[in-house]
Amino acid sequence: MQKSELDRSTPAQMSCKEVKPQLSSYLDQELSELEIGAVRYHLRNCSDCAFEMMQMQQVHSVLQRVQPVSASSTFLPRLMRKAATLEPHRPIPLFQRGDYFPPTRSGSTIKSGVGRMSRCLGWIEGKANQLSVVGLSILFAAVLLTAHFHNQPTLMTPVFTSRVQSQPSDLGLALSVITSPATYVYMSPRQMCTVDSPIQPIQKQILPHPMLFRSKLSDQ
Amino acid sequence: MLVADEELMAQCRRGDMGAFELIVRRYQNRMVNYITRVINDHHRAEDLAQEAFLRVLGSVQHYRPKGQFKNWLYLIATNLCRNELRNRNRQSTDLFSQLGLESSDSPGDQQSPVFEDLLSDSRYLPDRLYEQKEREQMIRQQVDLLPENQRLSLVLVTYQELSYQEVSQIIGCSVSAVKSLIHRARQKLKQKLIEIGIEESSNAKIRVR
Repeated sequence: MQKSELDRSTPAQMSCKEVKPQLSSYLDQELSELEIGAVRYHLRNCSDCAFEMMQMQQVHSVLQRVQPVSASSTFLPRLMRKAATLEPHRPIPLFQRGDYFPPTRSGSTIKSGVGRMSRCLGWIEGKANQLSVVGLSILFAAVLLTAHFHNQPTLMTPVFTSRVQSQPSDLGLALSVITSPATYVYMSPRQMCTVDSPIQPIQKQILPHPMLFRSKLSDQ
Repeated sequence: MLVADEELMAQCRRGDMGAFELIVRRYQNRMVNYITRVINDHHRAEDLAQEAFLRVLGSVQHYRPKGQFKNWLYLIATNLCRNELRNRNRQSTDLFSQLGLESSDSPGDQQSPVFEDLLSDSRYLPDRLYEQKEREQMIRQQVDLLPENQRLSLVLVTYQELSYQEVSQIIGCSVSAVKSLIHRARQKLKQKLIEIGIEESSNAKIRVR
């Protein structure tokens, strides 16, 4: 039987041109049941493709005859010695950056600012783990209280989100910042400078939403 | 009962170095074998495998079990292999440019010392080795000549027995692209093996001459 006649007569309607690129996948059992049936049927009836398949199998078995290589006996001791010289193993940090600042692709000012500051928080997080969370809390409280009493912009001025509904006292405000870090976002001093307004005391900056906060400052 | 890799990573995250050691014991042979097949250098492969495990340890705090740990480990090893091959290509380019400069400086029939070093390197003279080693060496060399992605996908499928789906995640391409890469790699390898002395006999067996 001629090859062209054979191609036309196959019920699965797969020509040699279609079957040959599938032979590797057929060998690795990466075809669907339907495709396997079609290829198998074609191979039974086409000596050219069957020969190609046999060559493919031979190449595969030649490759697999190569002896596997194992790690040497000194591999593990050497590796564990290197691992011991690495930075001491950090415990799980109390504040996970990702929990508070989920990655975003939006280009809005607030969100990109949050993205930048989340990287900044990464550095702070590292330091926080070294100094301990208690030490950081004390430092944070000191920065906030200093900013309040001197009425000056600080390195990081907190802007409260909608979670803070009421206006607490100064001490309560500072404590709420320390105890619930998820209730605020940060804005850098550069962002604050883009608004043509002197920095207001912290107590007056408690607003329902950061966007509203920005628009209100722009109006002034 | 076999503890899952992800559970071991969670323990490792809590500072348990025993869990890390268990992971290393589980994957060290596979890693060394994989990297050796790709870069064709056993000693360097051990260094790179160690580097891969150290990277796992270094980024254990950021590890989130979205996919299989095994695929992540292979991804790290693959990136290390890519860097190694890139560096090696750069060095070989430097060597050949050096050879070119020297030959242009001294156009006589004297061989350059670098050439003599290459020719006296007995590692690439397979006739001094046993038949099995000779055959393996030839096969390794031919695999080494394949393009990077073809080699990586062929090694992952043939020696690590990963699925096309897993390979596509490690290589960073689609499943159909992996299919094509492996098919082309086998076709090319078949031609190369025939050229260097593997021939088909009448009953279609491939033999080494």
